[in-house]
Amino acid sequence: MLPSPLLETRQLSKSFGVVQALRNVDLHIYPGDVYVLLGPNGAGKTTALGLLTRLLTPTSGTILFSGQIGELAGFIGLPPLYPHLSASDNLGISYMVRGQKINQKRIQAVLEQVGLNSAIHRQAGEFSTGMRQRLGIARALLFQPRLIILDEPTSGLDPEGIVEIRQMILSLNRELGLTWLISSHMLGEVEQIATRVSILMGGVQRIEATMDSLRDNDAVYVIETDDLSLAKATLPSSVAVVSETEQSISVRLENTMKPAELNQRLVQNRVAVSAFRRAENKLETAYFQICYGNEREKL
Amino acid sequence: MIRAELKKYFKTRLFWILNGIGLLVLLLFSLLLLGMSQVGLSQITSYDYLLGATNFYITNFLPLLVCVFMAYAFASEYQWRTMMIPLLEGQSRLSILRGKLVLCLLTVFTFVGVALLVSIAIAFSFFPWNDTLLENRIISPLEAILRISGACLWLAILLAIFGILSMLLVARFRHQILGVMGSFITFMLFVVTAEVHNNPLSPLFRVPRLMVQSANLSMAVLGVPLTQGIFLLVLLGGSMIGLLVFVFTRQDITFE
Repeated sequence: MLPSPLLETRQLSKSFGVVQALRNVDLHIYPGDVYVLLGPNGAGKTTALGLLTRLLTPTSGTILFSGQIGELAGFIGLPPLYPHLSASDNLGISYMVRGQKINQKRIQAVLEQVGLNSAIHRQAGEFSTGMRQRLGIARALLFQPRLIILDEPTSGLDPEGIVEIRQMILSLNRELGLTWLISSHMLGEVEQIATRVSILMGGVQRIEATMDSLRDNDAVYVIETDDLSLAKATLPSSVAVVSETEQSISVRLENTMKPAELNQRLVQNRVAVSAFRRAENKLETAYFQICYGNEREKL
Repeated sequence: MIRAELKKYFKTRLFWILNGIGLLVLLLFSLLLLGMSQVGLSQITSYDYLLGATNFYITNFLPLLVCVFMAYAFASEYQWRTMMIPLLEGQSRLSILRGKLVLCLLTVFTFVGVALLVSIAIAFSFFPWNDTLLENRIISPLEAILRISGACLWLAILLAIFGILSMLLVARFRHQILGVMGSFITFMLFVVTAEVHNNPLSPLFRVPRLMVQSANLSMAVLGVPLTQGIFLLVLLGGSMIGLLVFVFTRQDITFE
């Protein structure tokens, strides 16, 4: 049984003038989740995060956070920083904003945690994109939050930077049990870190599911043969062709037919099957199926 | 919030550059007056200099500096995307504004205070005191300083209101230059029209003028304009703050 959500939205909607950016979105983020908002550009991901961080005011709907407001940290888009102040002073501002005494030891600890200990006295304005992201994450970690919100944290980073940020998110999730809410449109990245996913498209939530259930949903098999037309003619009506190449077709099997039965049927009908295998179980397949259904071929 | 505002903005280059430019202008103005005095074009006493320098600086030049700095102090939070920091640290939008309002007051008082101290130092170092006669009464140097300080304090409060107007324009239109020019031009219109007959806003400038020109500062002389002036300051300041709160608390905070 799932615990009660750390953060939940109910029928959350946001309009900018006549443009409805988000429509009745229900999110359920549980403690320990790496929850990813997935969707193409303009899907409403940043709008959703803006509402959760109180930068935007909802048109309707509710946001329920089971912690204190200060226990929710993160940033939207590029990390916020004061370019004329050092990394250490940038974090010190957060203490001042809260009316607390600056804890230099804690500042040093979080900067070390994100690998910025050597740049503690450098002006933030001189930082590279990756260092800025890390400083943003350091700020988010400063007060031991329960939930960290990041908007496309690997955007604009080089491959090394992407791997570093990904590993940081995963290690903090595993070691400290930190809950993350991240927006992204990089399916490969999401696949490696997400435990739960919500797919948005045009401001509408298409699905909210665990990564495992998304993968299970993908019952696609690849048939490799030289005679594609005979193979297609042999397929029963309950089996849909998902995609096609010069020497293979990918089919989705409904519950009515098992893979072995299909293979047997093909052989009996003299289709020269050179390979019959399960398609790679990628988030990409599920994503396109959910977003575009059978329209994918038209993309 | 207030400590954070001071750390953020009193450490910017712009703050020191504006202060430097202000002092430079003040020094140039002083040199001009000193030159005029030296060549015998006019006999300028310490009090004349103090009046001229502070009047020129505070009503003509300082408003521009204040508008530039306060528009920057608000616009940069969007530019640096740092407007989200206090919100994520659990602070309300009202507390963000409270910090900015205090920053505005402290900035104006710093600018005015520095200018006043420098002017006093120059006045008593380079210009003769003589006996300063106001109407039929000779005033002491201390009284002169107190009178001019009072007038500067009054004008500083008025300037702070225009600093708030800069922030309001930036918050509403998200445009820094519009914030600077909109507020500065409005202030200059106030200054230019101050002498216009029946102008309801004239007590705003009549009060500091009386402070430095009238021999008698009794309530009989100062009472009515002071009451009208305070009423106008409260009305203007309250309106600006109210509008700023109205605009900022209802606004979506988005970044370019």
